[in-house]
Amino acid sequence: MRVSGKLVVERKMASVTFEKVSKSFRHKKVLDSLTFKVEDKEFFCLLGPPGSGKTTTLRVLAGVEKADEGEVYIGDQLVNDLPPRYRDVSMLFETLALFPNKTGYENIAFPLKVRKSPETKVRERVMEVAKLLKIEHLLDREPRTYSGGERQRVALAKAIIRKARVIILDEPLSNIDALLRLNMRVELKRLAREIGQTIIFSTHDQVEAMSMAERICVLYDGRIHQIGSPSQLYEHPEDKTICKMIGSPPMNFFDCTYEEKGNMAYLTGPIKLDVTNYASQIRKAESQELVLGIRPGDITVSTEPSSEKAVEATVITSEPIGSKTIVHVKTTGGTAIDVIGEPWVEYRMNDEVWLVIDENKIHIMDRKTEKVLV
Amino acid sequence: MDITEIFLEKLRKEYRSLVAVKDLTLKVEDRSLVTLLGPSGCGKTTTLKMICGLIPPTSGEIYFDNVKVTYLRPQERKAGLVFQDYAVFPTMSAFDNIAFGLKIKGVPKREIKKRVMEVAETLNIVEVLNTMPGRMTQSELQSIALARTLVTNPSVLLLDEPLSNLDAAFRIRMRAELKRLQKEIQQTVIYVTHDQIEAMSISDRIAIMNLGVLHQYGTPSEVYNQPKTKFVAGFIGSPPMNFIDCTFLEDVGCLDLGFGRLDIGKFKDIVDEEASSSELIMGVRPEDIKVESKPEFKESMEIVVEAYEPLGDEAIVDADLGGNLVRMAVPITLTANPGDKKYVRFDLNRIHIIDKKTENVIV
Repeated sequence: MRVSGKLVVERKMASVTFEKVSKSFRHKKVLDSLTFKVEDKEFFCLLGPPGSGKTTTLRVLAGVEKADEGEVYIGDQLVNDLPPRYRDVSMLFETLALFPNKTGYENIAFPLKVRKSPETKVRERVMEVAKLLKIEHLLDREPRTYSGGERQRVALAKAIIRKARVIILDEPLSNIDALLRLNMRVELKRLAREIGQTIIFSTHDQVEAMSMAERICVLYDGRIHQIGSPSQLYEHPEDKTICKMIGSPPMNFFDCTYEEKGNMAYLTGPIKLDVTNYASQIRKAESQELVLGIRPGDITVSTEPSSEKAVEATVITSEPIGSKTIVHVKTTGGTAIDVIGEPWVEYRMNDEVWLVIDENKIHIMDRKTEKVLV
Repeated sequence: MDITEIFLEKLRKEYRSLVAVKDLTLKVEDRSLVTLLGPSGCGKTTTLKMICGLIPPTSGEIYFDNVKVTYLRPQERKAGLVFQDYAVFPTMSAFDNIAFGLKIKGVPKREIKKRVMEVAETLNIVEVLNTMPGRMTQSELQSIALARTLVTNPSVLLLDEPLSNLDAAFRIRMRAELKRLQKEIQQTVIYVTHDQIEAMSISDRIAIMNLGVLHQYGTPSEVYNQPKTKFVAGFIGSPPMNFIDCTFLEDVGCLDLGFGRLDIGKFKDIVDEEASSSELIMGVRPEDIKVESKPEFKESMEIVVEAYEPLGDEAIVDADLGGNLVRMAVPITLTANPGDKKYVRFDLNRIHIIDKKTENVIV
């Protein structure tokens, strides 16, 4: 709508809705019928390996790429055919895209200047944002004099200066070193809370996604595998892809077969388990062929046979990594398993150990459909 | 099998005014895996190149089993170097790649075949011996590069960031594989990396370097639990150790942390004696801070939560303590929201007291 000759997009709910959005490049389908909704003021993450369609999704939302099928809404407004500049979204690209010949101040002020905001207003807002991100001292300098973290902060300031309806951050922490990334994680989280706007970011790092986002949407090969809070994804993964992707060191998988004997139900295979309690859920599987998934942290390792159920194994190698030890073991049947041991206990090659599996935390999947049953 | 013990004596390398490696003395025991660890520019790769003879040291000596090799040519000292990018010949099959080193030495064909097969069996690559490198996976390429060096029977195997080209999940698998292999073939290995987790997980001993200076040489447990300098304390461990600036109050034997006081009891005398001034730094690892919802103990200190980062089975609570961003690892069962009040305690046996001026760890 136009008010006194200027285009103004009404500032109200800034939720984002994708309805069966698909996109292909030549014959390769990069987005396959994506449907999700990001709530107003939510801090939302798209998680997936390189090539899973994260950036394309963000570009479709920003309007620099057009969906082949489906609808994209911002608030209640259908934006499929709205050019980027009218969508009122701001996007931080992975490469940061700062003007090298402009000072920090000019870079940050740029999105407002091109929209012809009055100079006093611009100055006021730049100062406000600079204070929020603690970059007042960088305003007079040019980007080439910045360190990695400083570049990142200035680019962030540029992305949030305009109070756009939706802020898009494409891999915001991928270009900075490990230590700085830990600090920026906290800072981004604080920023998201303080500015109270809808923010969508993408990452390939599950730790980044888990630690920052309110909800995570996992993309793999252009399809959505699960949307949920960090704890939902970790504790109740819906398929094998999620099991593989979330958690470090990654989950152990064992091909197992389901068997019933009288009132009891068992998994047989490299790991044998009594699964009577889960029988009703497992019967929903298409066949008896299942996959058992257990996180390394849900297996206790001890140097003595601590209970009747303990599985005997020998140590292959162990890796002390500080607060815990990753132990690679092999069962008597030859199955390799990763488990987490106590910090600074020595697990030597060929030592005998006993494993106890926490049966409340196992995941059982259908081998064919890869859907999680338990 | 021959015994290979490597001894570096006051090894030094200067490039004009820059001292790349400063008087490094280091003993690598037979059949052990020693890692040179440090950020880029710490001198670790320069050291490796001096050991294999690619660059001559400015001063100092290198001994292999008490034999001075400092000025021997690379081919005369039997050190096997595996490059970061593998440098596998793309036009030769895996077999020819592995056999190359023996061929140019004029080893008879039958002998070559026997030794290549032996190495290939240890590394589990017998099936790919006839494959061309273009069709191999990263792990196979890596194994070929390793096999090619191992087949020449080096007295020491030198690995320069061998895992840095691999993606994260695969790197974790390969490092366990390398460790298993090293124990199995009982080969002395010197390994270079900038990744502390890799170093911790794979090494018998770690030499931590920064700006050409050796900061500490010890087992993973020693460098983690008893760091000698602030650099080592901060470099080893993830998330890294927290540093909190503090002042030593001599008369009461307390550290003034800015947000509370910590009685250091038994450490009072040693701090009194060794600290160069009352300006100290307290170092404490994220998992060594006890976080509770209620002030149950008299030593509990109140903090305000800045961020809460769930990571699956544990979470990180971030808070501003006296102007320092401090991370605390807590079980996932303890939840917190920004602005919440929590209470922390420090275990005297799990803190490190560091001299702010000299950056040496006192306790």
